[in-house]
Amino acid sequence: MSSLFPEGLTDKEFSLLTTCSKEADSLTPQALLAQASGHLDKVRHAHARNAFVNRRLAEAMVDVFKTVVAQWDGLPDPAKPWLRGMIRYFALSTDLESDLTSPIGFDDDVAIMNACLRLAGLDDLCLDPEDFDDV
Amino acid sequence: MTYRCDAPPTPGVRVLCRDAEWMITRVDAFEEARDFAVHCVGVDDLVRGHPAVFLTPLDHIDPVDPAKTRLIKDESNGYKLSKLFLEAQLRQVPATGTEPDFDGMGVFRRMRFQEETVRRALTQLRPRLLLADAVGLGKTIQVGMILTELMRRERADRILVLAKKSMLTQFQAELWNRFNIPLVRLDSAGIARVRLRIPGNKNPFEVYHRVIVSIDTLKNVARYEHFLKDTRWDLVVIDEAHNVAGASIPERHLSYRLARLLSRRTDSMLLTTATPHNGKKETFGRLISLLDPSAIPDPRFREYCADDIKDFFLMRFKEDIRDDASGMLADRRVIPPARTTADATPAEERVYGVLAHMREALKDEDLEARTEGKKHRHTALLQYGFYKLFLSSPDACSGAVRARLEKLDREPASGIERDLLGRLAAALKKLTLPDSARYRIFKDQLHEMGWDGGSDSSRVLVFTEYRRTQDALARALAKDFKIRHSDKFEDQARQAIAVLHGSTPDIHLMGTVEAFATGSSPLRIMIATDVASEGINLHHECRHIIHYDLPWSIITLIQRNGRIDRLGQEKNPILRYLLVNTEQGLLKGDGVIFNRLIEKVEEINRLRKSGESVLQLYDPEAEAAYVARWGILGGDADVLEKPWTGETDPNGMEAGDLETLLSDAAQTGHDDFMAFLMGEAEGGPDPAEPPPEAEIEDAGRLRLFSDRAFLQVGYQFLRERNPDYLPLEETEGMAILTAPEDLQRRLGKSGSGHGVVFGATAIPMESWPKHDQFRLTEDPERVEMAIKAARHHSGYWSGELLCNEQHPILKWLTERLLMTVDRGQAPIIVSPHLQAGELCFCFIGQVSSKSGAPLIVAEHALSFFKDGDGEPRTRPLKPVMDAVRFDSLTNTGAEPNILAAEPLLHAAVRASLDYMDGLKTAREKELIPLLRKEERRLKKWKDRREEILRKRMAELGENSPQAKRIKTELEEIADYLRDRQKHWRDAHFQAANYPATRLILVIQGEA
Repeated sequence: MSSLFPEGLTDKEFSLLTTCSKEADSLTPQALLAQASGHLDKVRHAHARNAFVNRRLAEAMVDVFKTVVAQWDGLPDPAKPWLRGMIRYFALSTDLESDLTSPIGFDDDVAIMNACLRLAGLDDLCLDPEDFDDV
Repeated sequence: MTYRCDAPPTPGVRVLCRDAEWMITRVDAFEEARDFAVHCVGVDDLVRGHPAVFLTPLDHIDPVDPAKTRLIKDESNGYKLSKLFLEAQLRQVPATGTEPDFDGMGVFRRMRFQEETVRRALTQLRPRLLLADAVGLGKTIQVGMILTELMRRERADRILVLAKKSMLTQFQAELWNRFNIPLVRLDSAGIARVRLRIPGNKNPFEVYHRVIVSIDTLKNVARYEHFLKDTRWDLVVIDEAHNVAGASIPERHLSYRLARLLSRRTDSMLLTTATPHNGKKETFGRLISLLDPSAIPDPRFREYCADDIKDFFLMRFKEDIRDDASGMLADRRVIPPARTTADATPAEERVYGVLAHMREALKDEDLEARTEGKKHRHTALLQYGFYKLFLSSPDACSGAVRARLEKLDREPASGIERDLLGRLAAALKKLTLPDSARYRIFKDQLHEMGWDGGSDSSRVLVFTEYRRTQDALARALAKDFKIRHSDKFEDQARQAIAVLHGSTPDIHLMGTVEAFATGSSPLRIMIATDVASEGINLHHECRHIIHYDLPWSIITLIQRNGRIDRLGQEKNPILRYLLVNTEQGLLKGDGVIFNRLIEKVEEINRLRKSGESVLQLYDPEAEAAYVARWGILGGDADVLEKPWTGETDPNGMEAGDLETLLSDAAQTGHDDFMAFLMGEAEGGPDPAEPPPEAEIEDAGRLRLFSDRAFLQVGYQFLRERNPDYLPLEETEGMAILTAPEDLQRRLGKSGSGHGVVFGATAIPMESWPKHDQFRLTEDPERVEMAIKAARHHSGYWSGELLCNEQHPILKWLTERLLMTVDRGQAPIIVSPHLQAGELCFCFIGQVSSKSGAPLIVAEHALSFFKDGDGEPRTRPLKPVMDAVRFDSLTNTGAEPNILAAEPLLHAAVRASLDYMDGLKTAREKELIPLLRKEERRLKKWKDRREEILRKRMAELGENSPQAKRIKTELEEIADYLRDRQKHWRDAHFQAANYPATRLILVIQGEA
């Protein structure tokens, strides 16, 4: 790990991620993944009513989380609280950009996810939200 | 209380409300698009033609279930009923594609640069553009083009145009004569009059939907603010927008506050100006942020790059469009200065001698020294002020000397000034304008032109700097050419010589300008100060300008020449700059500077740059003072060759950088757009992949009748049902329609409203034709001639107008024809060109946004075949109409099988809604990536601006008074983004969950 905390985030993003990390501290990765899947169901439901909601990106993110959880034990320990926080942040409906109404509702989630993945040395799992702009 | 349908209310649908039948014409959403204000026009006898607005939370509004449509046999001759009903339905369909349709748009010669303007506006999800083309490139025409295109899209129902008082009629007439866009002029008295006719709590700006108001009337923000705050506009246009850019403290500038208020209350916005900045980045940045507050992150608008602004403005020069505008931009000719220069007379040389002495005596007085303001002015007056006055005329100079001496007489002895002025007064004694060399050369020029003030004489526009010169010149001309002349304001428009200046009351100013642009008026020469130098079009009947004296400013000369040297000038403009040589040593060199000034103005005319960019002072007065200080007094003959270096003012450097930035940004904007058109840009269409059938862009509209035939056949059809309608008079190329009473009422004719103000559909009353006879033609050339004829005989208003879809009369006809078939009914006809037993259901479907704005409207047909599998075949309507040869179909009396058709209605409606759902998905695929891009840009702006503000707040300390202002600014950002999401993104682009459809015709294959 070249750094001790995720970098490149705005103050607000970092502050919310910190809160999420604390909230997720006692939860297992599997429990967090279940929260993320539950949130994805909400996203799918919202997308059926409002095409602005970026279901494709949300699905891609959950796939990334699954890959992370699958290799959980081999990941560097100092990165794990942040990775927990990353999944917890995704599961929040009302974060910095509303997931269930905004056309770019997951841009903040992706920014946080990418920062945490880079911290854990999982750069190749990072996503570019613009690749998921097409409906 | 509800709208009883899943889909939002849709224009064109007939509804029942309060025991009467209505047709929806427009829908506005409120309460986060849960409720609607449904604008309707009455259909029943009792309410026919009356406008009304119903609110879904208060009224039961019942649309027809399309599956319950009753089919009626069309018994009309040649199926005229079905044809006209279908045509009216098609004409009522708003355009929703991305490509503009320039055919039949208006009366003007189309040029590529104008087309780019319209396309640029349409590619913006929310059209907001600054048109900063150079003087005389037809910005009003471009505004008309964008307005027309947005009106076709139902995105410009409520229009507000703000213009200078002197420009109101010209703007109003251009849009009416050339585009059939009816703007109603509201001045303070007009607003007061409207308020007398409406209930006290009603907003006058809600009564008329398309309004032109002067900035001066409306900038009384305190008086009208509560009305303006409650009014939302589809489009706001601000002409000569540099007037609203604000001064050093913009918040105190009323025009700026007004513009900012309007910017937040409108969907689209257009600003026009040929002088978009004053050399400061802040001023230009402020204009751009008026268009879109989210363009520039720096809250002080001082730091921005080309990328921040490139999408928001267009800036072209004459040279950019010269190839495009062949024949529309006649090259101008300057009479060689050698022929317009005279040597001073001996008497004048004596005065120049005194003036030279004055300059010599005061040469050590440094104008830049920080002397008291008044003293500074007096020194300047003595050093070059009286000289400039005398250059204009002896009368201007002696008048000023007299006034100054009288003032000095009342003051304690003031030494050198009184002596100098005494000598000057003596030299000026008995010298008047008719004796001057300048007047002699002026008269020579008039003689050379064959000008004698009679009706065969050319129109001449004369500019001078001074009132006294104006008056003396008018008197001398009248005497020498034996022309009667009166000084009274009201007489100016009625005589051969008119004088126009800042004190001329508006009404007489407009009357005189109108007379000068009217061929038949006796007015032959207009002697004007700068009051006539900005914005006014004088090129239609005039090609001669004589600069009687020279303003020492490039900007002023360019503005003055722009009155006749502009797009649409068919004859070569001829310019004359009058000059006088003196032998007085100290003044002798000035002639070189004056000649350079003229050369510079002519050089700019041939280059892609603005006049302002030469000295980079951006202010005519500053330019004149600069030329006086460094050229006239400083003796620098190259004073005009280089920009003001900013010796004492850092503005110089900034102006140069800004010019470069704007030039880069304009070019990048153009290049990006061209790349987008070629499909190279991100998000642009991929040329390798043909779009699916449903997505094919077709700007051409499906029409069965030409506009003229629709008017002719449609009106005749109505006349058969309304015997009191007078017949349509037809001549070759022209239809004359005497407006029946309901049409008069609809067009807002006063006295025919029975107390109801028909503001939404009113036309300019000034244009109302004699005997209520509207003359319509399909030939734009003819309208162009009529506009010219109007200029020749009566003034601004054309007696003939273009017969096109936008004309309010054709709109009226469309609505009336839609009502010829009862609510909940659709005609059924028989065609021998369909398969035997085939049943073809024709629909118009619409996917609306949550606010009811049309996102997709598509006419389509569903055919059931006798031996088919029961599943209908869906096609766009046009090929079906071609296949059934609809336009030539005759009614043979064949009996349609209504009983066989009606059971299929449910399946047809379901299939139609499925088809619209498919189109909705296709549209979303096209739209959402663009929206995401825009949302990302907004987020970036918000993050950058918040960062700047928070940093500044941290520097200032949380409790400082400035920090409180920053907190308010931060709150405003949040409010702005919320408003933008609610009233723009969600309202305009978020599709409603259910599409709507309506059956308009059934065609059955002949058995």
